[in-house]
Amino acid sequence: MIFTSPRFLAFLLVLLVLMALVQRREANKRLLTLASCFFYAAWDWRYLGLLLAVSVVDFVAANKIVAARSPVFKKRWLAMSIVSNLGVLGYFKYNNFFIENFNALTSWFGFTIPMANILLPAGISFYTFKTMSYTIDVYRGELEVCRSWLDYAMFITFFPELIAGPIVRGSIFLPQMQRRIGPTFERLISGSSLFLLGVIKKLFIADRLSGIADTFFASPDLFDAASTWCGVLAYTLQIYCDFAGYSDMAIGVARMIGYDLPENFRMPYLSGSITEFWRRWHMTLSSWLRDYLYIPLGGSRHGVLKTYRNLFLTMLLGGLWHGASWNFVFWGGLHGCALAGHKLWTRWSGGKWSVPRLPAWLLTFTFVVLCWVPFRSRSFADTLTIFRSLAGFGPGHYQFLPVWLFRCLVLCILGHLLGYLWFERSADLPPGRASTWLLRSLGLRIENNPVSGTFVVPGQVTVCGVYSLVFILLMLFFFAPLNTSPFIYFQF
Amino acid sequence: MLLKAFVRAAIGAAAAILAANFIADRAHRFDDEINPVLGSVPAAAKFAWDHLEGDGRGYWTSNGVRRATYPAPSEGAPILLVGNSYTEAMQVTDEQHYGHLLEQELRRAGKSIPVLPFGRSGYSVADYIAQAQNIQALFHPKWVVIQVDRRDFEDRAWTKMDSSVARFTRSDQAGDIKVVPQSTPTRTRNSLLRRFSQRFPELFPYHFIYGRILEFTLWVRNERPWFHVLAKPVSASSMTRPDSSYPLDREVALLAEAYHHRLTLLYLPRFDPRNPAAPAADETTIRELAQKNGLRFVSLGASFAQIARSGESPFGFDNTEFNAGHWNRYGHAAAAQLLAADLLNMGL
Repeated sequence: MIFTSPRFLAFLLVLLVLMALVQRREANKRLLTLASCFFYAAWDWRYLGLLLAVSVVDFVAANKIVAARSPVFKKRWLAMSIVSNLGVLGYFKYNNFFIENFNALTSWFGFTIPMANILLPAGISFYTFKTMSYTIDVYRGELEVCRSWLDYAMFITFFPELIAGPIVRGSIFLPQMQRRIGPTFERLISGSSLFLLGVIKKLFIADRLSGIADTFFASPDLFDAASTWCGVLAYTLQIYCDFAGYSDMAIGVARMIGYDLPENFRMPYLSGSITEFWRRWHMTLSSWLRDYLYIPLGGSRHGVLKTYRNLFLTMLLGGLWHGASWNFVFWGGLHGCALAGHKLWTRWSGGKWSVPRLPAWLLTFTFVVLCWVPFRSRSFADTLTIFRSLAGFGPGHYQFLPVWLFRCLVLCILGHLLGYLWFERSADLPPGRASTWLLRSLGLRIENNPVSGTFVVPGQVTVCGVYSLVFILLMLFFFAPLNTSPFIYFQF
Repeated sequence: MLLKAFVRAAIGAAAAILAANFIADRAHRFDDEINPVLGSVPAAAKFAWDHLEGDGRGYWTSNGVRRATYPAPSEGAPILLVGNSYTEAMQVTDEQHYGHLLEQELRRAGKSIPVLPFGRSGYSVADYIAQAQNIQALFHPKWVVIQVDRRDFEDRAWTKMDSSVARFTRSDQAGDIKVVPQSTPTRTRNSLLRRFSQRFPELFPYHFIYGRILEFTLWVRNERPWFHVLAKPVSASSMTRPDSSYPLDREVALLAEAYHHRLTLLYLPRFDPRNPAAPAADETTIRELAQKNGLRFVSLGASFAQIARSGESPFGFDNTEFNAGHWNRYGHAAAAQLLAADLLNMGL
C-alpha cells in the first residue's frame, strides 16, 4: 500500500472513522497496532512475524536491563539486543553481499558459496534502528522502559513511518502514547495539508523525473555530457522529492491520527556546507548515526585525527546502511571525506575566512549532485562512465534534454524560495513583507511544532487559499502520472 | 461569518476550476465523431493538439483524414496512409507528419499525388482488414500504405478488451482465423456537459476529463491485491496471447487479399541505440511474409543508422522519455523519405 494509492486512502479513511468512534485511548492504541500489522501484512505478510519477534526481543531486553542489578548483566542484555538486531539486518540485507564478496575472493581457489534466496523484509533498516535506539536509550538511563508489550509493539509497528522512516526514537514517541490520541479537526487539517504537500512532491516531481533518471542510469554510455548532467540533476531532484515527499506524507498521516513525528528534511539543497547538508538531509538518520555511532566511537573527544576517522567511519557505515553494495559504501565514504574536509577547513581557517554564501552553496550542491552518481548507478563501472560523460569524455553521443526536468526545477526553486522566506529568513514574519502578504492571502499560518518542526497550515478561508487548493487538486487530477513508482527508500 | 467564508470558497473554487480547465484544454484537445462508414474518427474540420506527449497540432478535414484540405477528384487518385496512433500522430504538427512530407517528396520528384493519412488510435491488423472495403470504397486510393509494428499482428490484433476495435478470432487452435469487426458505431450520448463542452471547449474539456476518469478507473482496478504475495502471479503472456503462437502468415495473407495485393507495409521496428543498423529478428519475419504475399515492404529500420549518427532517436520526445512511446519528427521525416523512394522506385 503506497501512500498515494487509492487503497491506502481508503484504509486511512476507515481507520480515522474508527478512531473517532472508539475515543478510548487504550482501545485506540490497540486499533492502531492492528491497523499497522494489517498495513505491513499488505506489503508482505510473511515478515510480519519477524517484525513482531524483533519487538518481543527488544521489549524483553529493555525490561531485563532495567531489572538487572549488575552492570555486567545490563551490558549483556544490551549486547544481546544489539547482536540480535544487527544479526537480523545482516542476514536479510547483507547476506548475499557478503557471499558475493567472499566468492570474489575465493573463486580463485575454485571455492564458492551459492547465493541465498532471501527477500528483503520491508522497512527492516528502519525498524531495527528504531528498536536498537530504544534499548540503548534504556541502557543509558535516558528513557523510561515501556512496561506493556502491546504499547511497545505499537511503537515498533506504527505504520506511517514503518517502511521508510522518519526513524522515530522511543523518547519522542512513547511519551505521546500517554496522552489522549485520535483525530481532531485541527490535526486533520494540518495533517492533510502536510500529506498534500508530500503528494505534490511525489507525484508532480519525483514520479515525473523517475522515468528520465531511469533512462540515463540504465544506459549511461549512450548520452552526451549535457544530457548526462540532465540525468544526474533529474535524480538529484527525484530522490529529494521522493523521500521528502514520503516523510511529509508520513508526518501528515501520523498527525491526522494524533501523533507527531520528527522532521526529516529541512530544504537540504539550500545548504552552504556539507555539514549543514547533513543537518538538513534525512535528519533522523544523521542524528541516529551521531548519537549511536559517532559519539560511541569517540566523537571529537580524542584528538583531531580520531575525529576525522570517526566521521569517515560513521558515514561509511551510513552508506552501507542504505544498501548492500560497494556503491553505497563509496557514496558514504565521499560524504565522510567531505565532512572531515569541512571540519579541517573550519579548524584551519579558525572562522576568519568564510566562503561567501553563494559559492559555498554552489560548491556544496555540486558535490552532493556528483555524489548521487555512485548512489544511483548499478555498478562501479557505470559510475566511472557517468563521471567521464559529465566531464565531456564519455562514449555516448545521444542528446536528450528533458523538458520536465526544467519544469520541475522551476517548481523546486519556487518551493525553496517560499520555504526560505517563510521558515528561514523571518521566523516571526514581520508585516509589510511580500512573503507575509502571500502567506496571509493564501489563508495560511506558520505552525511551530516542537517535534515536527515548522510548517504551514491553513488558518482561514480566503479566495486565494481555496483557489490554490482546488487548483492543485485539479492539476493532480489532470496531469499526475498514474503509473506511480514505489518510493526509493523502500528498497533500503 | 460562515456565509462570508462560503462565498469566498465558492469564488475561489470556481476560479480554480476555470483556470485548471483552461490549462487542460491548452495541453490536450481531441474531439472524435461517429462516421457512418468508418465508425469513430477524429472530428471533421477541427484542430486537435497534444502537448503532453510531443508538441503536436493537427487538422482533420473529414472522414478521419489529417490534411489541410480534402483533394479534389481532378487531383487524381491518392496514396492512402492507413495506421493507428502512429499515423494519427497527435504528437507532431501537420508539417512534421510523414503524410505531408511524403507528398512534398513526391512533388519534388515531379509526381503530384495527394497523400491522405488515415490513422485511428488503437487500430491493428484486424482493423485494417475489417475496414479494407470501406476504406477503398471511400477513398479510391491509387496505392495503400499500412503502418504496422510487430504488436499490431499480435496482442493488439487479438485483444478482447475493447469492442470499438476489430480483432482476430478462431474456432479452435488449428482453425482458420477470421476478423470480428468493431461493434456497430452508435452516436455517443449528447449529454448536457458534452453540449456545453462543444460550445465552450476552453471552459470544459469534456474529452480530456472523460479520458482521465477512464485512466483513474483503470488505475484503481489495476491496483495490486491487498495481500499480493498470496495472489497467483499472472504472466503477461496469458493476458494477451490467445494462442500458443500467432498465425502471422495467415494474418499477412488476409491483409494482402483485403487490399488486392496493392499494398506497402511500412514497418516500425524498435530502435536499439547501441546497435541501430542491425535489423530486428521480427522485422525479418514480417518482411519475408510480405514478400511471399506480393506486398511491398519498407522498414523504418533502414534509416536508424543515419538518425543515430545525428544523436537522435526516432521515438520519444523531450517532454516524455528517450526512445519510448510514439515516433517523433525524425522518425516521420525518415519514413517519408523511405516511402517516397520506394513508391518512386515502383514507378507509381
